[in-house]
Amino acid sequence: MIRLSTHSSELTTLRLSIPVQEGLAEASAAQILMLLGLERARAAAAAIGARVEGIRTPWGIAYTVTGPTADFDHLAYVLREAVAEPRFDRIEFERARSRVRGEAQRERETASGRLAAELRAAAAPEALPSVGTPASLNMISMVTLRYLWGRTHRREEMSLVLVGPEPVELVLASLRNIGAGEETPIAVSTARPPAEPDEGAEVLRNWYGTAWVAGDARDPHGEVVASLIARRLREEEPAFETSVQLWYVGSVRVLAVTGAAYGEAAPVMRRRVDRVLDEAAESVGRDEVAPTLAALRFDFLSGASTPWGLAGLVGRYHDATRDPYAAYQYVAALDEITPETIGRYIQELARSGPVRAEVAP
Amino acid sequence: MRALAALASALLTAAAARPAVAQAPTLTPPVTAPGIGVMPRPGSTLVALTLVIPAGSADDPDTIPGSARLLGEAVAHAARGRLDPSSARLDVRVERGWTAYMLLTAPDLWVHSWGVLEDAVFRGSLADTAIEAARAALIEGFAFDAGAPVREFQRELYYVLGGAMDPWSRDPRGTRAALRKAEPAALKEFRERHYNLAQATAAVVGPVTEQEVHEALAPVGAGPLARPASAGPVWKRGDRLPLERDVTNAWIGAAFPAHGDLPRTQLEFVAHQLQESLSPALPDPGVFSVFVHIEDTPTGPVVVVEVAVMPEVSKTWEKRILAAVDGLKDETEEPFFRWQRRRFQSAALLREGQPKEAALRVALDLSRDGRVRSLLEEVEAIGPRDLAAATAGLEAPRVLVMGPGLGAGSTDSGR
Repeated sequence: MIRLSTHSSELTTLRLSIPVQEGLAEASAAQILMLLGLERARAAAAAIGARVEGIRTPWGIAYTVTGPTADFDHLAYVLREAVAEPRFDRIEFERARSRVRGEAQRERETASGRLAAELRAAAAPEALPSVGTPASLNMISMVTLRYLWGRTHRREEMSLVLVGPEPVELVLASLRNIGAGEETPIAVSTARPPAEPDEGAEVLRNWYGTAWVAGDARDPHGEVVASLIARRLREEEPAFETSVQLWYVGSVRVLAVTGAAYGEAAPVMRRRVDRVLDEAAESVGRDEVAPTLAALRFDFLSGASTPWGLAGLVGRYHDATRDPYAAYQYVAALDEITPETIGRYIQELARSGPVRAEVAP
Repeated sequence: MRALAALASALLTAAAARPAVAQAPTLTPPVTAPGIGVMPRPGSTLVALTLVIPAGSADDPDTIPGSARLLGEAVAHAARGRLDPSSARLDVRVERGWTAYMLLTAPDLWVHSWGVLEDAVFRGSLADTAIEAARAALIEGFAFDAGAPVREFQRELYYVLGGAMDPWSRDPRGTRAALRKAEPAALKEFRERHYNLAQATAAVVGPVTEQEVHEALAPVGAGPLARPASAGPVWKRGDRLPLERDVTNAWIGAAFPAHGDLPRTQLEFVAHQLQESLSPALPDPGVFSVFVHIEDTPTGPVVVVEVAVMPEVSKTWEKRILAAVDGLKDETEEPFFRWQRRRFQSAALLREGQPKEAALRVALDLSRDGRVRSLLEEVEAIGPRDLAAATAGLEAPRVLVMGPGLGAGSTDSGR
């Protein structure tokens, strides 16, 4: 439990995160579990007008509830509802599964989604896919969800971020019986989803990307390099589309640069994507780095300017590292970054070698 | 279990560890000003500062509607050019009766950022480049809504609220033609006339103290504040105003005038209750949007219910709006009322959990009433009979309906 007691806005925020590791045949089940939990939490929160969020993070599920400090008991009840054992309701279940299926298919049917999936798989081959296939989603049932819930929603595995004045004892007592009991099974499912034919995506342009494993979440060098590359690409306005992204894949952070170009521009685009990291290393200077660092710091502080934003940031960094001080360390590390440390960081990325992927028409 | 009570302030410490930016030494002795509000939040990661100028589009010269907005955007553009974008962000809102500059800035740089904003708003030369950039952006905003029915509905609704001849009723955006021809000299004259440090109000929310805010902002809000006159209700006789148009949607605007002496928090509670009762949990397929808000017209506040619906259900929705208001007059059952009050309190606190929203509310409180409301206390002091009485005190509505096939009035809005 991480307690932040200094926001002084008469509000209390509770962010509860539950680590989830899905088996192969369970991919996307956590997303369905989250949607069902969020629905119950929203119904409970409506009585007092509390704010509720639920998200599937790269590490599991996180629910955040915010409301008046005077309503703390009800806020705790909302969280208990969110992580309660899923109740069998066919309509709710099918609605959630249909929504998740739509999201999964969005990734499969577009070239950019395909490229991202291939890059993620190449950069972190040991990570299981977090998005299911149509066949695996069809196999998910209420039994699958209850099994996953029983295995993952265990109080001792959960972590809580509190932004509010409540004493720790009160918070712990309020969440005493949360989640699954001890009699539930604990083994990760080893079932495999059925094989299914690759239906392919409609691809009109050449899509190409390179990716590097980018280190620990507490180290902001990855964000700084991504910002520098993005700025450079923006200023150039090349004749093809490019993007820079940072992903969390399982326990790994991945920096990816991708591009898309029509036939004749494709070789230029590939060379550009391949060279972009080296060029960033060659030309990084203090004039570029200082505003980038300041912008990252300001973005971070802006994100933390509301109680729920602060809880979300601190919780997210904790989920990524299991270190309660990770958010603080990230901000503090921004002050240590210089063109020289960026140069060394890029050299390390280059030494570990990029992975590449391509989706062609 | 690990308690990290100091993490939020640690984040601040990390931010403050950067090379210090010199802040101008303050020579002004500590003062207090009626037009400055401070909401200290020691653990907050940013400072939100809002400056409200008590002039808006209602003050536009008749020949240049849109002047206040063009000036506001030009000033903001000039200020943004001088603010460090990595430590401060500035937004501007120009409404009928006021203009608000809303600054979000890093705690260690807030005094410096305020200095930049103050200079741009009150003193700095208004460069042609800033005016032209603002002009181009505003004119572009007209590109896609020429002839849009919703614009006609909005225009007619504000004519109902403020009277067709009152400058307050005009669209704050002005007109494309007027924006094109607005001369820089006219904007500078507008600023000379209406932008006055002492009559402006300001609010600061964040890790600050009362004293440092008053020292940094003086002489803002020194007064006397130009508070709007609050007369009786805008009208006492209701009416139904159908506007037959061959369009695919129907719009309803039901306006309920309130007495000027009705406490603001109670009026906001009434608006919140109406929004809740007209927004069913299971979405109504015939309704596209419901928006309940309070408009401060030149002669008093009005609760406005705006809905966009399918034409087939517009008559039902007219009745539903009036029934919702009538229903609130009978809502005196204590347990039911307590839940309503908790939800209203939640909504108010959640809005104020965002520093920018809190600063805007405080600055507008000062501008409108000359005092800052203690929201939590005021909400808790409202009893079930207060809500019923506040609703009963609303005068008969004027209901504007625009859409196809309206026929004869189905609503007895004269009551």
